[in-house]
Amino acid sequence: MSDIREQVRDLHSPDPVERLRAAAGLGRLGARVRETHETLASEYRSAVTSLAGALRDPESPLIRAEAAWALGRIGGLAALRRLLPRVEELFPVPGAGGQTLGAETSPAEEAADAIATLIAAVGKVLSEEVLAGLDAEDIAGLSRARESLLRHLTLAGTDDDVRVAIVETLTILSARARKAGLDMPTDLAPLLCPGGRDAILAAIALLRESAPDAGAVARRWHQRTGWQVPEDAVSALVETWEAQLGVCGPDRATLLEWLDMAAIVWDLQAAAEIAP
Amino acid sequence: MSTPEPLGSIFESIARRWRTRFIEAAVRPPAGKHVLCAYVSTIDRCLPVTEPLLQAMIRESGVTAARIADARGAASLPGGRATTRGDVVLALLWSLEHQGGRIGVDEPGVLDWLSDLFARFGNDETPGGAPAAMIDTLTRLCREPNAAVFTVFHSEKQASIYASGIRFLTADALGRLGDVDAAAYHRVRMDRPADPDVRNYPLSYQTGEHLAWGPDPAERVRVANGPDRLICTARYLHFDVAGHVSSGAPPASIDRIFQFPGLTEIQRDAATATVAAAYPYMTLTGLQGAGKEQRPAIERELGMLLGKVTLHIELSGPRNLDWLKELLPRYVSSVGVNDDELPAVCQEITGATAAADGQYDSVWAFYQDARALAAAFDLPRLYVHTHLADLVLRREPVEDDELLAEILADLYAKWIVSRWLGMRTSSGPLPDVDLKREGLEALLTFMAQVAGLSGKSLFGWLSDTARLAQKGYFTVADDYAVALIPVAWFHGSLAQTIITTGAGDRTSAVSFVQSCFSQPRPVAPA
Repeated sequence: MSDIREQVRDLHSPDPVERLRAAAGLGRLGARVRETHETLASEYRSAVTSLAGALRDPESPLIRAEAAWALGRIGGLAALRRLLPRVEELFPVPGAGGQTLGAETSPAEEAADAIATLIAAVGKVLSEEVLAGLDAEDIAGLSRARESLLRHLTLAGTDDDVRVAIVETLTILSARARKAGLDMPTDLAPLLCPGGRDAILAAIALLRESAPDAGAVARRWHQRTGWQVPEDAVSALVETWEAQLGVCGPDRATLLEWLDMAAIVWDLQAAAEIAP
Repeated sequence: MSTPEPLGSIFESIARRWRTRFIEAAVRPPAGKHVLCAYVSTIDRCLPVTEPLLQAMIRESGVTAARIADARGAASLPGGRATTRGDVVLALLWSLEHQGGRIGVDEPGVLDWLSDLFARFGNDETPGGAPAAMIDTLTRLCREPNAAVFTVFHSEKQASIYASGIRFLTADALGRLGDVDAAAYHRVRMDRPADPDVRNYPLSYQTGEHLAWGPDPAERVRVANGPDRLICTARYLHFDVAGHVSSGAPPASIDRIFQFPGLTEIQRDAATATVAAAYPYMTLTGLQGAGKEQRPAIERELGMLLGKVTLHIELSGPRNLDWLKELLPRYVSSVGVNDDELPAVCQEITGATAAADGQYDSVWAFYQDARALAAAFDLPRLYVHTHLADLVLRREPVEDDELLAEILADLYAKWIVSRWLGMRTSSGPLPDVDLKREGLEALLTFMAQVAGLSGKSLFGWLSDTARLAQKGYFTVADDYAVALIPVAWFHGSLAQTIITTGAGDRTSAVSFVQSCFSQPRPVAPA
């Protein structure tokens, strides 16, 4: 029996430890497939189906998180189609009928780590290839998920790790959707109001999506001049900022701080290979 | 106990949380503390070892092939002090193939040769020594507004090579304290007799380099361990404008830390008391070099800092712990040390080490040594910096907020130091810096051991491990609280080649200043 079949079988074991190990094992195998560009075998399709079930494992958020991580590692359209319904369960759109799939865990009961891992897994799956292959139903689901996640960011009490996962995933979505020719603008402007980390991450998303040259300038400022930012470059970026948002940007001192931060985050995200 | 099989979701969650922390830490504002970096500074002229340099050194030293062959096979760095050019060459060849180190050079002729050699092969003179590195980092990179440096001697030459903006603690003829920037201090020095200098000549090299000095295959070395360096250093001496040892004035000695020239003993004491009141945070380097005859006066000065000054010392370079180990439990609140130095220090102080052949095989092992060392010195704070994960021990009681502040301080320190290393290495765009994956894995493994499987289900153990690794710290009642911080480092080939000399002093100072640690040693009961 192949490794994959064995792990898929163990995903259905009555022993939760077996299920946890199987999810972890499938994630590692999935990573190998991505790294070696192996063809996604039919065995993986059954793995994706079984992992989708494990996203709602009643035993432990560790299993649910590991299943989400594994789906992110395996990737592909099939994985996205399993992850998005779970996102919709956890972040139901108001007035859309609430939960639809009879989840064993309600959003309030789910652990923050499992939620953040699920959202991060969606980001991992969002390759240009996957986005180009979406059908109308997929696009509608992705749009709903995007709106729910955006709205969730503005809620008080959202776990920090969940917030970061949301912003990172929306950053990836906004950048790659455009490249894939999808009409899916991500309005991150509301995030600029509260200030702080979310605003910075959103600013980066905007710069990266809409003004790559300005972003590159910001990066060079930081690297070459440390904390000093040239006046003309600031003006250029303020104009870019205002043009992109259609609103007045933050005051200059705040902008400078954000730009310094943006250069740092830019580097970190590039290093983490989530840059578009 | 084995560690848990790494779960991808746990690792990613931890990586995401720590990366966010790193982002937050990278834009920390200056601490604003009044901190003084004292008290021994040098003039350094670092050169990378190249074939032309090596060939010139061998040619000009006149060492024979037979002597070279003998020295290369020696068990340890040949000689503690160099009295001839040949001694320097042989020490360098040994270092290239074995391990970096330090060699004393007092012979004026040899120092003059080194001075000419280094000038010929080029490279700017820079302020050296821990106080210079610390004040440079705190002022130029951290923008600390209230940091100053004090050096016992400060020649015009030395004053001229400090960067502008760095502030010096001074005393006027009446013992009144002030602080002025480097340029102003240079002017202050003009109306005073020239001070002596310590001049260092570090020779640095990279791992894997092949250096030939002749056509014979035997006339070449391959750098085995590195990046590393051999530092040729001297005692305080007077130099002329050409950089040669001056025969005019005798070498001076350091009689006390705050040896303000021209003041009476009473004025010096008053000035020292004022320093203690003005600078509640101090880093001190140079105690290890103090001779026995100077120790009583220096110890009296240290006594004047008790109850007022939180004193931090970075243990590095030649150890000479015989006196220092008496001072640390009484006067020093915070100690920094790297994991290369820790095994030998721990062995010398406690008689044992968890390192095998000078190397730790796990974070758990260096935690054992760090804890033993902290306990031996009764230290309120110990900071161990490594290339994998840094460790801060804080004596209980300590609040969670303080441990979190230590974590952010260290992440900030690593960000600052990597920027400095990047700027030093390349004039182009700085390479990417991120938390090392190996550091995060080490954190996870360490916390798994701390969490302990005993009496727990696998799920309980994993959850506890994840919780601890996300926090990065834990407390132990009536003992030392522990914070473990994954190190940020460069990506790609630069990570293997960058020379980190001087980075330890810098990270140590930044971590000390940015942490919320404030705990002067108390005045001893009468």
